[in-house]
Amino acid sequence: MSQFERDLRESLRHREPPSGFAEKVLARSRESEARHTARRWLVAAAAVVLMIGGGIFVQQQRQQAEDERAKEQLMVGLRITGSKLRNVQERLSRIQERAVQRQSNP
Amino acid sequence: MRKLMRKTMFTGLMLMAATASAQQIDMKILDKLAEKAKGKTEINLDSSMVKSASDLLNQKKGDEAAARKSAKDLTGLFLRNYEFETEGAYKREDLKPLLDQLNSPNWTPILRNQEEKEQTEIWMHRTNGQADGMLLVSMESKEVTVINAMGITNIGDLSNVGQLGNLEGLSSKPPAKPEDKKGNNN
Repeated sequence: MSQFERDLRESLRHREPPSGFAEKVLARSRESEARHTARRWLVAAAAVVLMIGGGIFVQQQRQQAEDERAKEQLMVGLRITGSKLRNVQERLSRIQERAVQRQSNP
Repeated sequence: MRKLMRKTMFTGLMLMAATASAQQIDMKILDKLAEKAKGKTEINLDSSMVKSASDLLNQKKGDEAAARKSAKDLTGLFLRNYEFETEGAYKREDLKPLLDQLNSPNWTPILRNQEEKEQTEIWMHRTNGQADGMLLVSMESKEVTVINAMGITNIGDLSNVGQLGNLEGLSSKPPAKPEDKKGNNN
């Protein structure tokens, strides 16, 4: 048997694990699982917060856009109204002028 | 007691709603005109939209400040403006269903002006004798404009944007027989 074979046999020899090895592994595995669960919850909570926050942000943006559009519409509406009323005013002024002229030149 | 209060509140709310709806004119009748128009402007702003729009108006900007002042009492603005390519694209009878809605004691014509191919009517809506809405109908040869401004107590309120002066007192006058000034006002 060569040295190499002896080393190999020695390396592959069955060894008993230290006492409490299985418990330690199981405990670590449980710890790791708990950490994973907590992390999953954290990710889920963050996702929910992000979704709610995003939803609120989108809603606010949409509301702001609607308000801006309403503002533009209000401005246009008031301008058209003002212009139409100005036309009426001008016509009334013309009628008034004609009436005055008629009175002064009977 | 609570029941009575609830009933009173309910009646009050119903009355408010009825008043608001009475001021508002059904503009869907004009949809047929819209189909024929080459250009159109349609504005529908209810009270909440007017409020949020007014809140955005900048008091430091001249025109916006004026608009804010104009919209102070405004509780609704509904406007239709249609431009047509040719004369005769619409008939005045097309607007009859709209004007028929004004056959209520709350609506009073305060001005009716007809000159050549143009006709303008201004009506005020009154609740308990107090002006609280206006309707303007302008029929030109190639253009129709209908404006329903709710909450307006005086046409002068709209003068801030239109730079008006003489119309200030129109709506404060008591309801009178409409002044029918035909085209040949000489």
